[in-house]
Parts: sequence; structure tokens; C-alpha cells
Amino acid sequence: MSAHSVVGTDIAFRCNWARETEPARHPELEVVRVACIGRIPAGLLLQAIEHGAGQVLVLGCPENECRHQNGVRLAQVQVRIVRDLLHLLGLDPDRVRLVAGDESPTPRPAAHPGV
Amino acid sequence: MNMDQVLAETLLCQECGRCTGVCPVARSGLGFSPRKVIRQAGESRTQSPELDRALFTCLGCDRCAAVCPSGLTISDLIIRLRQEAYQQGRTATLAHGGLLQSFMRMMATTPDRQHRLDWLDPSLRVSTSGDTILFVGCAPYFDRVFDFPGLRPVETARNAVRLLNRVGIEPILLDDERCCGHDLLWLGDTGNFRLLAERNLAQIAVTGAKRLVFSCPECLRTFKLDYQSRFGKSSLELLHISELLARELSQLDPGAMPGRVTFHDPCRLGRHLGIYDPPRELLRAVPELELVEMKHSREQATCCGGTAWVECGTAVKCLQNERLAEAEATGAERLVTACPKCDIHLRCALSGTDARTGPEIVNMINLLAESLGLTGPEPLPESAVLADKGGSQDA
Repeated sequence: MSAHSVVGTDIAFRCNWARETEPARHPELEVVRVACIGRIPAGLLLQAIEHGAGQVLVLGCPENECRHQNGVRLAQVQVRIVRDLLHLLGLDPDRVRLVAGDESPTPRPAAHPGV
Repeated sequence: MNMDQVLAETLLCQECGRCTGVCPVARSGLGFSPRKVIRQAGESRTQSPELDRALFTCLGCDRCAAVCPSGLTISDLIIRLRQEAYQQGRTATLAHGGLLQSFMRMMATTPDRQHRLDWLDPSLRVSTSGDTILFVGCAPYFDRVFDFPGLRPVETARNAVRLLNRVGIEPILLDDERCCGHDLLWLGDTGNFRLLAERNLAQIAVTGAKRLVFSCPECLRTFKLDYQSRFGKSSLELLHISELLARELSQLDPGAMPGRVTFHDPCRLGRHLGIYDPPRELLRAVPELELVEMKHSREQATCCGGTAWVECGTAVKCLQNERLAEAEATGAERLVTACPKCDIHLRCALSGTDARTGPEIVNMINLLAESLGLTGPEPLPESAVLADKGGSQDA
């Protein structure tokens, strides 16, 4: 990550098998295609924020359409951990989000995950 | 000490090999040897891939220091070598995808105020002024990262407050407390370690407190040894919660709890700080609770296998399984530890895919709270009538 500055960038880890949805076409978004979003650990998501990324999206299919069956569910766990940690750190949890399917990528004033 | 001083001290090494003889990582046969580290450090440390690999497998458990006839603390050398490696861009293989080091570094650098005390509930009596600060440590963070069955780090934090309340102390909690920096220091990241230390020391100074109580032995070690040697002597009394509670045993007055337990000495509490007896005094004070010792205890206690969340591999897993087997051999139903990280690491070993049966792992703080029936909200004193805030505990 040090070789390539991500300061101020919005990053998306996008499932290779997911449909080309609206979020992935966002022109400002740096998209990293991965074989399975369930393999993106919380540590990588948090380090993207630590290194200066604005928002980090994890883009996948609706849960029941996952090619690997449980990729989305695994990603949900990792994303929830990072969102909880961001809240603890005093940062906006919505900077890391899982978008499964055609949801809009714009930040929602979402309810905080709670503690 | 700077590197030259540390290296000069290694000249005292008599090459007797007792360090390597007791080193739990050396026993794994993966090539690490404290004696070899000492020799290579003096010879060709800048270009030794072998030393590099070895450097980060050391657990800093100080079993070697306990037997060294020259009184060398090899972990001091290891920390210095890691600083040098870190500055040259070399580091360990991080466990958990680097998640823990990442939030620790963010605590060093982010200006934002944390939300780290959400776990407090109205039944816990805390204060904004007074003599005693309770340093909570990273429990609120660990609570979100680890979900081993039965592990609730924030419940341990609540119980620590309940125990202090029980002996008449309403502790100050720092609402923007930062990680003590133990893990980053042991990885060689002295820059972020210093930032964390400065933020903590500044917050503590304004409270005017006289003593600082820790529920985590690593935080205590870091404040007592590393902060004081780098940033000057502290005027505060620094102590582990077991030391404070052991002094107040008559007020604590634990209730009966039939069963047999064994105590696992955390490296930082035992060999690093010499605190062996207070946790045992507390356990012995619980009526009907039998305390039995494992084959390796006190100065000879083996490590839980994890330091600074790095290099979690074969050696570590062997060590953890051996420790659990030792505990099992005592016939104890519960293995009690006084360190949140031992608690996590031993639970991890128990819950692996090749899960084995073993004693239940329990933090000493939670066991004491249980014996006192403090697992729920502590009844408020009659003088402090607070409005019922309903389900705010779950907020």
C-alpha cells in the first residue's frame, strides 16, 4: 500500500463475479477486483482508512447469489468489525461499507452499529 | 540504553546456552536460539536474513533472563534489534491481517476523540476526580475483534470497576485513553509508541491522581519499565489490580465458590514485574476454591504464546497446547489468568479446528466478580439515589 498513495481516494474491493452495478462505475472510485470479497480481512480495510482513503466499499452480490456461497456473509463479519473499530476510534463508521447488489454507494446517515 | 550499550552488555554472555535450553521457541526446532541471536547481533546483524527471521519469533517471555548467569535481559536486545529492523523497513508477519497494529497506530495519530467508554453503565461508580485512575487498556477494541465463546473483554472492564467499587474506590476512567503502545514498541515502532505515551501521560497528568491501577499486565509493564526509562520517573503509584485488591482483602470478602483452579502467570506480570503472589492470595481467599499449581509456574511459567500479535505459527500453537495440557493434568476445571491477551490466546487454542477439551479459561477479575455475585449491576449505596435509566446498559 505504501507504493501507491490512497490519500483521499475512495476504494472499492469488488467481487470478480458481481454484476457491473452502479457503485462500481463511480468515476472517482478506485476499484480492486478480487476473487472473493470474503477473503478481504478487516485488517486490510482498516489499513486503507489508516493510509488515508476516504471511503472503502466492499462490493458483492446479494447474499443469496454468492458464487462462493458464503463470501458475502464472511465479508459482513469483517466489515462489521471495522465499522465498530472506526466508531471506537471516533471516526465515521460509514467510511467502510458493504454494498451487496444494486444499492446506492452514497453514504447513508446510517444508524451506528452500536456497541 | 542505545544499541552500543545493549551490545556492550552482550559481551557478558558466557555462551553457556541456558537461555536456549529454556527458550520455548527454541524448543520448537524452527531455528530460533537466544544464544545465537546474541552472537549474530555482535557480528553481522545488518545482513543476516537468518537473524531477521529469528528476531520476530521471540515472545519476549524472559524465561531466558530468569536463568542467565550474567543477568542479561535478552529481550532488551531483541527490542533494540527490532527497532533497527523496523527503521530499515523490515517487520514481522502480522497476525489478524495487521488489524490490531493498525488501530493501535491510528490511536497514536488520529486527532478524533474516541468513543471508548460506551460500555459503562449507571451501576458502575466512576469519578472525574480522585486518587485512583483505572487504565482500561484495549479491552473495548478486543471486544469488537474477538468472538471466542465466553470472551467479553468489556465485561472484564466492568468487573474491574465493580471490584474497585467493592473496596470503596470510585476510579477515574480516561475517556480518551490510548493504547499503552506495548505491542508497537515490541515491534520496533518507536515513533508511534512515543506518540501514544505522550498522549496518555498528558491526560493522566491533568487528573492529579496519585495512583494508576491496571487490569492488563502489559500496560503495567509498559508504564512501569518502558515509560519510566524513556520519559522520566512517574510520581504515581503504578500497580496491578491484583496488588490493590490483595491489600483490601478484608473489604473484598469473596463468597464461596467450590471447585479447583490453576493460575497461569502472564510473562509481563510475573517475570517482567515480579508479581506472583497477589493473584494467588486473591484466589486462595475465595472459600472452597482450591488453587493447584501447574508443572511450570511462577518464574518457570510458560508463555501463552502470543506477543504483539505477530508470528502466530507452529511454535506458538505447540506452546499453547502444552500449556493447556499442563493445566488439564492438574485436574483443574478452570485456568485462571490475569492478562486479557493470555485469555484470548488460550481460548483461541481451545477453539481451533482441531478443538480439544480443556479447562475453561477465565480472567481472574471475572472469577472474583463471580465469587462476589457481581456479575450483574452492583447495588448502589443508599445515599446515591439515581434515576432508573432503564435499558441503557444495552444502548
